[in-house]
Amino acid sequence: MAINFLFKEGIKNIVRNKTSFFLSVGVNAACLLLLSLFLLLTTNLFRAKQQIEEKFEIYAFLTNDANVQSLLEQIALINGVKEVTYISKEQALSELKNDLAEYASVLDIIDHNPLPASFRIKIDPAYQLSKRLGELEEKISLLSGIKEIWSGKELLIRIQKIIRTVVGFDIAILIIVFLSIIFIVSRTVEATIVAKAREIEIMKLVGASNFMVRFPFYVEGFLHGIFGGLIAFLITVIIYLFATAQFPMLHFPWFLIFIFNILFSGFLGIGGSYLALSHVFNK
Amino acid sequence: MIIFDHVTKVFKNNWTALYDINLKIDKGEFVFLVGPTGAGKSTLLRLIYYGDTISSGTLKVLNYNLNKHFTDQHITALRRKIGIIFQDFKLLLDRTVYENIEFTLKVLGIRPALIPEIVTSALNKVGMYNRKDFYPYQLSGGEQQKIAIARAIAKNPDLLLADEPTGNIDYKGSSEILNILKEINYNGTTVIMATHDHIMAESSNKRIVHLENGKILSDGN
Repeated sequence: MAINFLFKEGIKNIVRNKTSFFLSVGVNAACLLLLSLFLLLTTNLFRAKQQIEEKFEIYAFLTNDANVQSLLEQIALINGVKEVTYISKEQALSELKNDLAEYASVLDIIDHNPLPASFRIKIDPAYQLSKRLGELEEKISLLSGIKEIWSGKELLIRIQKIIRTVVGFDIAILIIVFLSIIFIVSRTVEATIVAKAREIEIMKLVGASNFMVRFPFYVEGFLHGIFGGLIAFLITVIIYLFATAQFPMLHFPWFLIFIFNILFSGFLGIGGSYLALSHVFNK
Repeated sequence: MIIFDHVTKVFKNNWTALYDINLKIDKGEFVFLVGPTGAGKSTLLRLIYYGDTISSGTLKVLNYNLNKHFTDQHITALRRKIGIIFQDFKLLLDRTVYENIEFTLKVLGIRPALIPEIVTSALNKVGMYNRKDFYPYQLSGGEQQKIAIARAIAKNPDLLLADEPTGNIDYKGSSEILNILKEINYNGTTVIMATHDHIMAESSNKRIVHLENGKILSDGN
């Protein structure tokens, strides 16, 4: 089979229609860039959420007369509790000093230790962000000797909400990008098909199969997608490099973004060609 | 080689282009399809290369039964054995004479190493090798038709269909085209030529099928 020849014909299509090719690639790149940036944001949000979940703890502050050993045993028996650690008043103060670092001297003006003793309770991930977390907190707070309960669930809930919104945007952008690339590529390829009507007619008359007639246009559509994706990927990398100067903790999912930009857009390009070919040949 | 058995072709607008055609063409024959415009000559040729489908009857071409279930692979295989030339030449204007023929051979998947020899041979057969680097618009109508013939015979077809090949060409050019087609036929290729020029057909001493209003009026030498 003359695949080599057909592939070259696909490239010739592009060379003959350079302007429309670059316009189409530019618009595809813009769409994909938007998608890539949202993808970057989403993966970083998921990563932040995961890190918070890994460190998720409930703080149970004790009254001065609490029976530490008895409470330790009771809490360890509650369903969903993975690990309980006792933090004495002194240890709490020492940790606060460490956290404050160079500002630790402000604590010197206080003549006594105001921090209560507490338990740090690690819980099963299945209990995080669920109704059971509330039940678990209630059980602990009802124990004699527990003054107050605090957990980071509010922060986790807020991140969860942000993620939901961003994922919603991701899906919306994905749909828009999907439709835009398919539409743009199909219109560009359709123009090439019309311009090459005689060539196609000759190919059919001499005995070219449908596959052979269509293949160069699939190559053309694929390259539209690939080039758009490549440009979007490079711009995303540049933006990431600039962003890491401000936010060093930013994570860049190279593989995911590369696959999304290059392969996803390449296949969308083929989809656009398919649409154009179906439109022209089924007329 | 070709058998039309009670073939009728009715188009979607209910116009009957061919009515109850019975025709048998043997291997190696040279047949003129003669008739005025609208007689059904081009439709008959289109049915032979499956450019259109028959409405009723049976049509066999090169051992293929051209019914409605003819697949894409069958069409490809059939057309690879048929050379077709048209009144409007159907040459690619942005490619040279050489590239026009080369294009066909590449489409057919001929090995690149063989292509120069085949193109040269085809152009020599129609006496146009010296025009190989010309573009079609630099050639006369007669010369363009010779290129179209060279392209058709480059794939060494069993059957050559010519739809009004001399329609746009002067008398001298027409004679040259006809002589080339006779030469091709002499070398074993079956040739079917549609023309409205009955004088040219009658002076050729070949089989003439006279069509009018989609029906065969006469068939003989």
